Amino acid sequence: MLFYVLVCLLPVIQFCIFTFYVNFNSIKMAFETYNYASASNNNFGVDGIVKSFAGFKNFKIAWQTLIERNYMFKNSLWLFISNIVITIPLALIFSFYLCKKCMFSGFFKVILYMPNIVSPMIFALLFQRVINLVYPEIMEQWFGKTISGSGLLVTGNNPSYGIVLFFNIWVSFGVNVLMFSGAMSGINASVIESSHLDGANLVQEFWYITLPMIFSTVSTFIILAMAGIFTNQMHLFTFFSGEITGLETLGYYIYLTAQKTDYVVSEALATKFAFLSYPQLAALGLLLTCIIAPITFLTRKLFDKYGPSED
Amino acid sequence: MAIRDKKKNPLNKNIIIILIMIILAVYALSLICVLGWGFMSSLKSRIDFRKDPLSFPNSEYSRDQMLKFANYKEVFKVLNDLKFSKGFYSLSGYERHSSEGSYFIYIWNTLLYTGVGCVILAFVPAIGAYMCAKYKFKFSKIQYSVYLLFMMIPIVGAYPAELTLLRNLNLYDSFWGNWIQKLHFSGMYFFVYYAFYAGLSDSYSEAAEIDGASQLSILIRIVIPLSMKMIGSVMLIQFINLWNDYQTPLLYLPTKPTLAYAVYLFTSGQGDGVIGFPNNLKTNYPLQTAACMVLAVPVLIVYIAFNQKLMGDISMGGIKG
Repeated sequence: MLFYVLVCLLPVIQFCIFTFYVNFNSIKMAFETYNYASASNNNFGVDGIVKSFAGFKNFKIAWQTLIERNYMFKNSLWLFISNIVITIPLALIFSFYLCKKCMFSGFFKVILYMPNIVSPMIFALLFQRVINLVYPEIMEQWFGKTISGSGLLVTGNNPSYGIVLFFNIWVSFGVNVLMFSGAMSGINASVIESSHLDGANLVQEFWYITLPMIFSTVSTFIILAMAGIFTNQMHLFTFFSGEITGLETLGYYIYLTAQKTDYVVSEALATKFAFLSYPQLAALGLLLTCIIAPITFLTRKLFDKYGPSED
Repeated sequence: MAIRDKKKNPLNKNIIIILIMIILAVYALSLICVLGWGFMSSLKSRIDFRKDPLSFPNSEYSRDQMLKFANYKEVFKVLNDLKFSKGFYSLSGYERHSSEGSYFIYIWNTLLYTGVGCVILAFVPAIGAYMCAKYKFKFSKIQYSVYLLFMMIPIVGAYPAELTLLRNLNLYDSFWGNWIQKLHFSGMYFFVYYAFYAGLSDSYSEAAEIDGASQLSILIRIVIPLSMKMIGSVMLIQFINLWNDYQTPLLYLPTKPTLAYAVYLFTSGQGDGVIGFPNNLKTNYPLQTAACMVLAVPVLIVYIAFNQKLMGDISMGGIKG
């Protein structure tokens, strides 16, 4: 018992402080407002800041931001949908291929994990350059077509959400494939053999044997994707170096705001970029948590109740 | 024998398998082409790149870049000249903190951030999962449920409260703060380990207990070596994640630049409170791609050396609440 307590003590205390206390503080902060102590010193003064109770004012501002910038909500949602409809199904198919040890499966396994090895930041930069410079060059040199770049470029005046979404799908197979193929390799070979004896073809094997057997892993990934709807940044920080472009997801906006602002937000940042102060950001986070938490739990319950059984 | 078996794999003639193989081949080609183009561009001069971004480096324009790796030398020079500064509130009031960049500093910071971080992130959840799986106390069940709950609850926007806490504890912009942030059992790998330890036979530890081994020596001498393959895989995954991560240092360690952080600033050509960027860096594409390669090569070497381990025994079973 003593050994158990000694080993668990420090991480449990850490968890209590950095999870419970931080989240409690986040809720508390959402009802506070901060101001500079001295009205004459409205720079980041050495005399610090004072806080006071704000009621629901921060929530009002956060809600207003959500309404005014509702495209962030849509962008986050589209990213989630692409994850569920494209990334996860493709990752499952690729994992099945790898598990069947078909041609070049070892090589493909390494390649699929490559975007997790080489930083997505590097891929984002190279991808940007390829789209902006190489693609128009290829079209001109090989096909004699001049590309104006409108609607295609991932930087500049007219960035395309579709291109950024494509990039996200392009670099996102690694962990999914690693986990799915790991789960698939744990399926008892005799179950698969008996399905073959019963005349099951490859598609049937995948649909009726493999998928139900690893459904708990798949559902975990779906739940995690859902839980991350409002925190996924879509690599936008790498693409746009912290600029506001109209492609923001809520995750990107929240990270950017936390990085750019402080307890009190400067008027320039507030009016030009609609950045929020820390308390307003905490209120926004709380609002989004209230939206997504019940949905996540409900989905999990539905999976548990109606999902395929391993038996 | 294994090679012969692969050749004989009857599935290779299946039309669906051939289709998937074509998709995978196209995907592989796209990744290789982009990386290859990046490496090729890093060996070009600016003029050469402007003339034709598609072609191989031309020795007439890119002699120094090809033979003397001039772009890479330039990257090191620029990185050496960067200066980092950030003002923030802490217990002692508002203060401006600053540091100077040098290649040694980036490597040292990266080792502290990545090296120590991956050890913490691999071992701490493993120990926690072992304790929860093998010590059947009520608190173990509570821990498991709480970690599961917090993995599933999407907590959005806790950055301000976390930053405030770190600043109030004087742990903001400090590696100690960063390590303490990682020192918990929870997270996805807790459940990977938990599934492993739950299925691990008790006979080894029971035999050791009969021989008089303490609980601590069972953990260190039996349990950890038995799970070392999995811990090693998680450590490698975390090493790669942390090596490539620039956003966490950007937010929590603004004046402790890691290599990824420095390369990010280099490629974006700007950074809050960062000075020392040469003019027209933003449009010097060959230099930017050279910076990317500086970051990519070490981790690629690690990956090539340990990829069998990484692709080994990581799987996440179902998580039942």
